[in-house]
Amino acid sequence: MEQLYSVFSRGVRFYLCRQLGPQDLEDRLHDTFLVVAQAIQRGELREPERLMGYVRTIVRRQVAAQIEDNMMNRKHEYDLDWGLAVRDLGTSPEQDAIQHENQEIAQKVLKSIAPRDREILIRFYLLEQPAEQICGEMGLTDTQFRLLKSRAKSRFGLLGRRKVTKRPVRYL
Amino acid sequence: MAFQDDTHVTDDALESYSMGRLADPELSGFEEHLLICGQCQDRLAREDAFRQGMRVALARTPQKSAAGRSFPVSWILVLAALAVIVVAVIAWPRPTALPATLLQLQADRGPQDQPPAAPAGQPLLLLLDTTGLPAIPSYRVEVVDFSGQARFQSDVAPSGGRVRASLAKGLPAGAYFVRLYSPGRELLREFALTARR
Repeated sequence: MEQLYSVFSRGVRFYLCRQLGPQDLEDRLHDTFLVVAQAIQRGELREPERLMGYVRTIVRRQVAAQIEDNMMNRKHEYDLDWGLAVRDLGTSPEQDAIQHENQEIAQKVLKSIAPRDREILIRFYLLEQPAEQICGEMGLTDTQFRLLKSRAKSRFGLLGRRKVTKRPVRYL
Repeated sequence: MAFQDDTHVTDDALESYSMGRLADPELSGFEEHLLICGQCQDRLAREDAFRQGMRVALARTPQKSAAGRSFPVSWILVLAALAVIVVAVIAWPRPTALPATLLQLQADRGPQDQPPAAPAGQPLLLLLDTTGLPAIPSYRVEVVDFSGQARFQSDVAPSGGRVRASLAKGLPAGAYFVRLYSPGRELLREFALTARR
């Protein structure tokens, strides 16, 4: 069980957090491992090489169940007309700060590139047009398209790293 | 297929997954790997951060919006204002035509400063620099908005190292790209342009 936890805990936590947010994360993580451990104990997992696939299935079910649960809650809460204690589904101040920082960096990246390159990024990331359509309409080769994205990403990463290193160290 | 060097997921797969475009059979293998690979989790987190940051930043780039719809103005006030405008338009001495704004667009390389700005909704005369371009009898001029939709197209003959394009109705407020094509639809040059109120 300990080995199972050490191998999968980070990944399961990452997956759950990405899909559902940090709310009740530890409880969900615990539930997932409980289901997997019980299945192993019952001998339901006959092929050990399928363990990863099994864990994935359980995690996906957890996500689906949580989403369904949220939907049901919303449905019930809709009928209530009295004051209701609802959990704050907004982002935390830390998440807000990170998102704000990412947006600032992205703005800097956008300012540093040519309008045509910006249009490519708009089409791909904002309008979510397929790469084939963008290349076709803008007369780009696949390599040119990839190069532009990779440059923008590396610049984003570079500016992000610079920002982190510029931060003053605070001792508590 | 979604793996590079049989070790980690490829950048393409990572990007597709981040955008919710990865489908089975790649998806299952990808997610199984993601559950045990810290390096790919970090890469995905970076990809997510880049994509989300980009989306917000790109959405904030100057674009025409339906601003004003949310103002709590009653219909009566709107109609009254319209009536005043109609009376003013009828009574106002009519100019023969609005003068066209002349805008010279030069080809530049390197980091982009503020693109040249023109008043929105007014006739526009664009002078496009063709220095260094192949000497051909006519160029195709195309003006597209930020979503890539064509707003103006015309075939124009060059004169004195320039191409003149006349947009009689001008352009609505927003950001545009002015493109020069050869008759064979080869993109030769592109200029940025902003129309402001």
